Amino acid sequence: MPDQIFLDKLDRLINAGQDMKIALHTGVKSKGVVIRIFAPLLVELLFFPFISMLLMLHGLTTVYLLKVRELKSGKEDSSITGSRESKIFRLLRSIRFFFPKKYREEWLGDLMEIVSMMEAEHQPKWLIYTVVFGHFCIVVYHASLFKLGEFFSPADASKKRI
Amino acid sequence: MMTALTINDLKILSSVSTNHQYGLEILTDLQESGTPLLLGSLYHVLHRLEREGLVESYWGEASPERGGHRRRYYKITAQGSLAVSAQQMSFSTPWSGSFAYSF
Repeated sequence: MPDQIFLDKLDRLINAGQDMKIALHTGVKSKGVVIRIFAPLLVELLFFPFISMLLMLHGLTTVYLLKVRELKSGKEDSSITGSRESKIFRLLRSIRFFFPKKYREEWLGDLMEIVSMMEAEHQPKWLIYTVVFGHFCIVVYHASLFKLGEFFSPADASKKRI
Repeated sequence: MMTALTINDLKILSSVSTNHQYGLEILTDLQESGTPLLLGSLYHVLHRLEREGLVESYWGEASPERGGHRRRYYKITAQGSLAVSAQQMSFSTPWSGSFAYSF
């Protein structure tokens, strides 16, 4: 059955009484069932018997609330879904293995802090992505090219010093 | 043997000489002092300085705005302070030493 936290969230949504679209996902990501229910009234009437039947049929034990979207404004409520991470954070996490291990944690942390600051200032998404892409290129450049340069000609590296 | 330093090395060492700072703070300091440097370049320099024993680092706390990643703080070592002082001395007396010329 759905856990208590999930039921509380759902209860909060139903009580809010707004026009909304709710996407639910049950079970493991690749094997689960995605259900879309429109309007809180339908959720109230159909959700519990329907989802209970699905859980029994598929032998699933968990229910995830994927997305709640107000139909009019189109705004997503990430606090309800429980996923506080932005898309850029998820993107950065997925590309983190491209970086050398010694750079990874501090670079990703600093870059995520820059992203957080820009999001707090309500900077446009395209600008944030551009900044992330720029820093990504520079880190890859330094991690690879400089390392190779020092490997092939260590004397050149010392010439740059005063 | 005294370690040779670049201008960027000196600026970074000066930045971490007063406070323990992490990458983004150092970058902000440098940008405020008119040195355009990107994060990637900064880490490259910091890691080299650490290898040479001029700075040392330790891991700080993780925070949600950093996606749960920890901060890595840098501070100058005694050897780093000496290297900065020596470099500043050589800047202030450019024609001394082997370059001295007598008639």
